[in-house]
Order: sequence, then C-alpha cells, then structure tokens
Amino acid sequence: MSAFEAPCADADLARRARDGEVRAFEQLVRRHAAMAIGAAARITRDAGLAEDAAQEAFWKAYRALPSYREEQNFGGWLRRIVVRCALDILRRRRPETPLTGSERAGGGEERAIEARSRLAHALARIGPLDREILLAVKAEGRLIAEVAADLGITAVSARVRLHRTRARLKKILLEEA
Amino acid sequence: MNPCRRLSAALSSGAPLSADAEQHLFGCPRCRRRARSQRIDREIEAFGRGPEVETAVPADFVPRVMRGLPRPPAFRRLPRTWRWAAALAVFSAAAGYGYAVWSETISAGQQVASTSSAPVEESAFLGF
Repeated sequence: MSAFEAPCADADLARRARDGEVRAFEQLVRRHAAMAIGAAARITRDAGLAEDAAQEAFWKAYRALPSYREEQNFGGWLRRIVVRCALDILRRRRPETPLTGSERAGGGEERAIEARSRLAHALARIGPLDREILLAVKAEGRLIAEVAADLGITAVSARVRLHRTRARLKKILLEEA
Repeated sequence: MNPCRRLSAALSSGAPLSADAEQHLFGCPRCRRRARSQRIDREIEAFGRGPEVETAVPADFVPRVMRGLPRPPAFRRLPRTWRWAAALAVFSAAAGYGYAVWSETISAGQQVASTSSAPVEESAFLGF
C-alpha cells in the first residue's frame, strides 16, 4: 500500500473478500491476528492452543462472510467466532480417562486444565448471548457497559443476564460434579 | 466451634485442609456440597484470571491462515459485474436456443400442412 492510499474500512474489505478478493481477506487477517490470538489466549491460557483457535476462527469467518452484515463491527463479529473456537478447543481437550492418583496429586496445572475444560463444556449448554456476556466480562476482563453496547442491550440488562448466567453455570457444574 | 463451621472457615481461607477436616468432609454430605459449591465459584472466578499468556503473532501465521482457506466456488470468484454478465449470457443462449427450436417446429408443421393433400380429396381419389 502506498503512503497516499487511505486504509480500507473493515466492512469494505469484508465485502470485497465476500466477492472473492482473497487479498482483501488477507488484509483483515493481518489487521485482526493479534486481537484474535489474544482473545483466544485469555480463554485457553496456552499460546499454542490460542494460535490454533485463532486460525480456525479465521477459516470459519471466511466461510461465514456471506452472513456478515456491513453495519456490524467486524472485530466484534470475529471476536465472537474466536471465543467459540477457543471454547471448542478446550472442550476437545477434556480428559476422557480419569486421572491416576499421582497425576491428580502432582499437577496443579493439570487440575486447572481439567477445570477449564469442564467450564467450557458447561458453557456450551448456555445460550449464546448469555455466554458471550459472561466470557467477555469474566474471561476477557471487558467492562460490562462496553459489552452491552457491543451487543445492543442496556448495561442493566447485561448485568442481570450476567448474574443469572453465573448462577445457571454453577448449577450445571454442580449437577455434573 | 462445631466441625462444620470449622471446615467452612478453612474452606473460605483457601488454606489446605487438615487431616481432621478432610475426615469430616468425607463423612458430612452437607459440607461436601458446600465445598463443591465453593470450588466451582473459585473456578468461575479464575476463568479469566491467572498469569497473562505471552502472545505474539508468529511470522508464518498469516500465510498459514491464507493457505488453509477453503476455495470459494468458481462462480463466486468472479467480480460482481462479471457474474451479472455471465448470468445474462447464459439466459440469452437459453432463450436463443428455445426460440430456434420453436421456430423450426412451427415451420416444419407448416411444410407438412402444405405438402399433404386434404383427407376429403384422398377419399374421393380412392372411390369412396
């Protein structure tokens, strides 16, 4: 890009990518790669898994471009896909076999991974909007007002939903325990 | 202090449980439920906390993403104006072919009508 060329808006690049211009999508990937890997890392707590989640999210986003509306914030739309992919990766990592005594005693990290994957499973049983609010506030550390504005709901409604979701999540985890 | 309260205090402090407390926990379902509930609370709270993971975009990340992109169908790869032109060309070809077949059928029908004699004349010729 020359110095005199104005940078394209995300929506414009997304439209061009949807029309088949692969270069436009490449620009979007460059622009949002750091955000995508960072958001995934806050959920997976592992740099390698975060990269995998971000990569998968970009592929899913590319396939989902026809459903992207230009008035949407592309970054927010992509972030939601990244969060879903990160949760899927955590769920896939859930240990299927029970841990042996020594593993159980030895690994605080192993326990943390198990807890995170249990949470990811429970989160899958919660409605998408509620899950998004909970993850944005708890996992990404975003302000509730900012999340509410992003989702087009009031801050009060977001707070109520957050409270209910937390209670529901706890109930699911208690049932599973 | 009764053992349930002692255990509750120990759980809240987050300190490792003593052997006595562990033994009580083993035998008291109410305390076990409470312990589980507190553990889940801690897990939910800890979901977003913990040491920040160092993340950087690796140099090969963008090429890797681009290599793995699903190929769009050939038709979608055309620019929008070309897509319209292609659709118009296909429609025109179909319409042209349809017209050609139709006009050929009509002219063939007329030719048959003009060469064959009327049935009445035919029956007169045969002497009926």
